[in-house]
Amino acid sequence: MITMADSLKGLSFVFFLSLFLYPALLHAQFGLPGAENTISITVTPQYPAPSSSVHLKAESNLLDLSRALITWSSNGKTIASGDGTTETDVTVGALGQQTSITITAAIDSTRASGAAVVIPTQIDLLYESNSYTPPFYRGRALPSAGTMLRLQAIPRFTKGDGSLVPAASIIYIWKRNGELIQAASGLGRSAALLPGPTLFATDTIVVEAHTSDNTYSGSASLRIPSVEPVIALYLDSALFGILYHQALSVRTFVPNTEMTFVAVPYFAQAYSPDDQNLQYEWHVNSQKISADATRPSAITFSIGSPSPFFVSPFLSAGSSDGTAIVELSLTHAANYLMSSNSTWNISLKSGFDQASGSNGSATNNPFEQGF
Amino acid sequence: MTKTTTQRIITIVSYLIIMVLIVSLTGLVGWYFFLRSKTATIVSINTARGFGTAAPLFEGAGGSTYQNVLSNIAPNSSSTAPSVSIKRKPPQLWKISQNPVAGAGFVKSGASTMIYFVERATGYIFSADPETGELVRITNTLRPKIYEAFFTNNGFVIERSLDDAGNIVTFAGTLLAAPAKESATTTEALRGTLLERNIISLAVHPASPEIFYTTLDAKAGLVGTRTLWNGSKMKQVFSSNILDWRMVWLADGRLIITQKAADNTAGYSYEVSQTSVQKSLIGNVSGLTLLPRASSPAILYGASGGGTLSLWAKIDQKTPAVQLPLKTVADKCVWAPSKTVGKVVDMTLFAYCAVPQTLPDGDFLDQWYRGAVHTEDSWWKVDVKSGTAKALFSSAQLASLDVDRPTIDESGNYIAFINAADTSLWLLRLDLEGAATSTD
Repeated sequence: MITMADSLKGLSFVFFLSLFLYPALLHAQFGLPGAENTISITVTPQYPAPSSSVHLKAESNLLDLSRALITWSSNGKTIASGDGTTETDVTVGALGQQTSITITAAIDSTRASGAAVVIPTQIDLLYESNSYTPPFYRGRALPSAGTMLRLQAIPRFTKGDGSLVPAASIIYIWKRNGELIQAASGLGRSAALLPGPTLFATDTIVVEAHTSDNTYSGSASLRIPSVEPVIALYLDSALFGILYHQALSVRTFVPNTEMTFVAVPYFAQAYSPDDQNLQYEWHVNSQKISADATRPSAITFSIGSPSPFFVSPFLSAGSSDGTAIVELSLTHAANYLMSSNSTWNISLKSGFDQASGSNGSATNNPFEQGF
Repeated sequence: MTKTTTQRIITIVSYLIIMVLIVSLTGLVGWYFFLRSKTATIVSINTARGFGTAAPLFEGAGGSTYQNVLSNIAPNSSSTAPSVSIKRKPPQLWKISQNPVAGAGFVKSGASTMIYFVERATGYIFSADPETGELVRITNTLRPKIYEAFFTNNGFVIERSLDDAGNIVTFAGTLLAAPAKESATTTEALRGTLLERNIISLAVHPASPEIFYTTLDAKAGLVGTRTLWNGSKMKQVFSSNILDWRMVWLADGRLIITQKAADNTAGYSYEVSQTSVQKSLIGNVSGLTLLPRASSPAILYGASGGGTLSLWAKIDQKTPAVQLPLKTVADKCVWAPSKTVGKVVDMTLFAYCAVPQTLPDGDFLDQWYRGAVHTEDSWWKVDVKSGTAKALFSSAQLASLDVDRPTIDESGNYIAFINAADTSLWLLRLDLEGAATSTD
């Protein structure tokens, strides 16, 4: 299975590092009062995945463990034993399944012990952006400079009876690049709306979650890069609407004398392509074209004389076959980091070139394919 | 006044008259050429607008659209003739509709199964008989510019479009009163209900008149609602801060939601239960596309990251995922239905996948969803349990198309899909006996 290394699945665990006193019977048996539970256990990774292998390491300030006879147990079953065995590995249980780790160490008549409990939990950390994508788009909205990130943590803290700890009763701590985001953190704050990464930057978002009594805890992280808005140009057909299924390529042939094109600013900071903050600058054959104020994302081209019906810029026949180099620069009135440029070479004709048999097959011709 | 003076005046007047005549003739000639050029321009513009096209024909089983609209959008293409009233077994790969299609689905019609589809330009619903090739228009309610359409197998249809303000309009209609195929000589109005505006995503139950859809909510961000086809009995079953979901409602009643995919971006998928508790199906998969199977815990899923694709299968939640030897996305796959022999249900896990013969440069999913790239696919049959795949047809046998939104009929004999390059509708017959190889 392919997984993103930098987008760690929200896997975590709960383990008790508190050192429990063993029963008085054992205490009496081994003598040396105060030596029980003086061994601390470090679990790596801190938040292990369900059914994964974890590394255990024992440390003690009271006993020289390197000289001690050590016995490791998992759920009462011995998993490792030997002189100076301060480290071992164990496979933890499934999601929500408790694994009890115990360690005992003995040097002569001196004995010490320690315990830990590992309960793997899971946190899914989902994200998307509020950047613009057109209606019916099947892909995800990605963050560009100036847009916001929508984040959602979905914790799975499974209790012993199989039920889940309600997400609303979990405390969430959100961090960006290691810094606490106080305003987004708190009880039940499983969702967050944060500014997206700046231009060309990649932010690391971490969410830590725990119950109020710290019985269950977990963490998940994401690396989220900023993308540049993508301008795609589509035909806006009077019959079919905008042909979102066919973005025009750099060279495009359209066998009509008049056609409307629309620019769609994917991932831009906008609510629509005609958002008032978006500034379109169209150039056709190096001539600046004033776009329609009510629909600046659209431009209509025609070969020949301008028609009185035109509401959008008119393209005079720059060449005999109506070839035009269309350049579009897109900026944002309030976001100086947003700037995208694209160029298309569009040929308009009144029909297929029957004499030569050519129908522009060397170019992207949507009509050729019945569009 | 002397004679000489009189002659001089006459001469001057004569010259003046001649000059006036010359100037007038020159002006008339100029005016003629000016008018001629203007007339040519006007004719050219009118032709571009379709003013010069022939009067519409209101005849033919396919309705007027094919004859009239199609001739205007591709006047020189000989392959664009509609496949109306063929009355013979179609070729193995049948181009049902040259016109752009908004969506298609298999619908039971008596003892047989028909393919119903919505024409994008008009919203008219057509039926196509996979056995005879007969193509019939069954509705006459004009709903222009349909971007997306869904069918249930018992005759309900969803048509989605945009209004002038850019709002998403969703119409839920029923074909229950539509004529049976034997008497399909007249068209009927498409009756139904307009659902609330700006439904973001939508899934239909394959067999019952129920819809699940998501809308924006000021408090929760997004809410998911179940409702009957006519908009009644609404029940909110889901809420999320994440808005970009794709949804599938399986015949067994399970409702599966999957985050919209992007290359190199982790995606998650869940099952939404009646109690709103989300059960994780698969997660943390880069560029996740998912195809769950009805009446089975098996899933197919695709991953897109690092500029390549991979396809994976899981038989159930406990079994580790197996990578299949195909580079494609789950959007291009369908599960073969279970077949019942006597009382025994064959739960063999087969799937059919269209696989790009070559992948375009760069990340695939984002470009494909934007319509910036298209592929030429070949069909493969996947044995999920063994993790193997074999080619169904060689690329030389069938036209290579960019397969999108494939759907399979209950018998498992036909796959209908849309060619993403031009949104034409195609049908692939899977029974190989007597298969023709033409693509007319």
